[in-house]
Amino acid sequence: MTFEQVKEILTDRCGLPSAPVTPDAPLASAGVDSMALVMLSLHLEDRFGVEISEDQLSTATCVDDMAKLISRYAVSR
Amino acid sequence: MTDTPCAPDRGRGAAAVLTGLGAWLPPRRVPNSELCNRIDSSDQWIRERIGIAERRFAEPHVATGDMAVEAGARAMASAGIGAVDALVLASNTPDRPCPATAPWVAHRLGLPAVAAFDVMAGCSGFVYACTVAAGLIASGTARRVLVIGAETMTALVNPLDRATAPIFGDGAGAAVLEAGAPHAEGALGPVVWGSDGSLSDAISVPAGGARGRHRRNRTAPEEHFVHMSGNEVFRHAVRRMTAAARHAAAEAGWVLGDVDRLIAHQANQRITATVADLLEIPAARVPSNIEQVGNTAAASVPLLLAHAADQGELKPGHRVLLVAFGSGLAWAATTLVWPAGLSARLS
Repeated sequence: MTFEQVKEILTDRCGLPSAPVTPDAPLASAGVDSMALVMLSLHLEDRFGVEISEDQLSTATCVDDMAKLISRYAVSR
Repeated sequence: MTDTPCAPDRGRGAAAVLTGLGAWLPPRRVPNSELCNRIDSSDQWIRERIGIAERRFAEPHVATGDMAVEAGARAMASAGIGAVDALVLASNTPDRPCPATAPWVAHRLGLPAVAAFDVMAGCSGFVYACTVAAGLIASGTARRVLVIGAETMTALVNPLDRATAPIFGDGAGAAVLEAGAPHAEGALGPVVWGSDGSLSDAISVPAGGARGRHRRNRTAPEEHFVHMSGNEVFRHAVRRMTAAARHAAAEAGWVLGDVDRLIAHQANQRITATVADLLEIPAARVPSNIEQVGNTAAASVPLLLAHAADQGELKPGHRVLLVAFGSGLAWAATTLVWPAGLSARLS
């Protein structure tokens, strides 16, 4: 999954403001709070069949890192 | 998984038809700015993260029963009736631990000797109470039932708790259900409901019940307030509401694209938006009043129905999908086709 795809979910589906969601932004700086992680997890499971919990997503250091993490889960499923 | 369909319209008697709607809100508006200092939050954060701008607080002398009387009277006026066979009050904040509040409400409404009882099913309470009323009607036990959802959430909310203080508000909504034909407009469709008691601690008031009776003198004041595990609740709310709504629509013979309006318990705007998104119901078909009234628990669904009807967002013939979720955990969903000639009474 690309950074652009993750950003689209975070902004269009999770309602986060777009500007702070940059590839290098740490999750907190990007506005990705715990509820956004839950929403992202639910969307990934419902729309892409990727099961990754909010706790697992929260280990990412930045948004781009989170996109790579999701990609690894998508490949391994 | 305990999504159990309950189908009151499958030939076992009359259907419960919505014929009246009423609502009442305490006049005191409490904007975010009034809460922010004591919970270290901001108006912007509460608006963006919860979707609430203000909520209503009942004055100290006003309790759940008083608000239920106001909403109930308006619902009966909306239906053009002066009597019912039963009154069911959904609430998590009864006036007292004992007795039930409903008989007092019936007394105050001038409904002497009517069957009246409380239902506690968290924020799903109103849909649960409607399901009970539909059962009473289907069995022939009652032909006309007043169902009220009323809450004094300020009785349970710790004003210093950042996790709950911005969310909840007080208010009441009510509906009249009357016996009618199963496929009449306004008839409640099959109900999908369920519970998961393994998560009873996710939203709870630890003290004040029978379980803590031996340590009554040692409970901390905070134990008498509602506690909520936000993320856990959020995840389960979205999953359960989405599944129950899908199931209820299917039981009614609808595809989700048929749904004209989704009436979802107003827990948090992000929950509602996520549920609607997963159901692929466009935002324009999802009325909301959480910005103005907050989360009013069991009063939420009837308040939203009344407000949406009053604002013309619910039109005759609309296919309406109701869904709720809350403490218990408990959830419920059902359907109805919006009836013509129903005018909600808000004053």
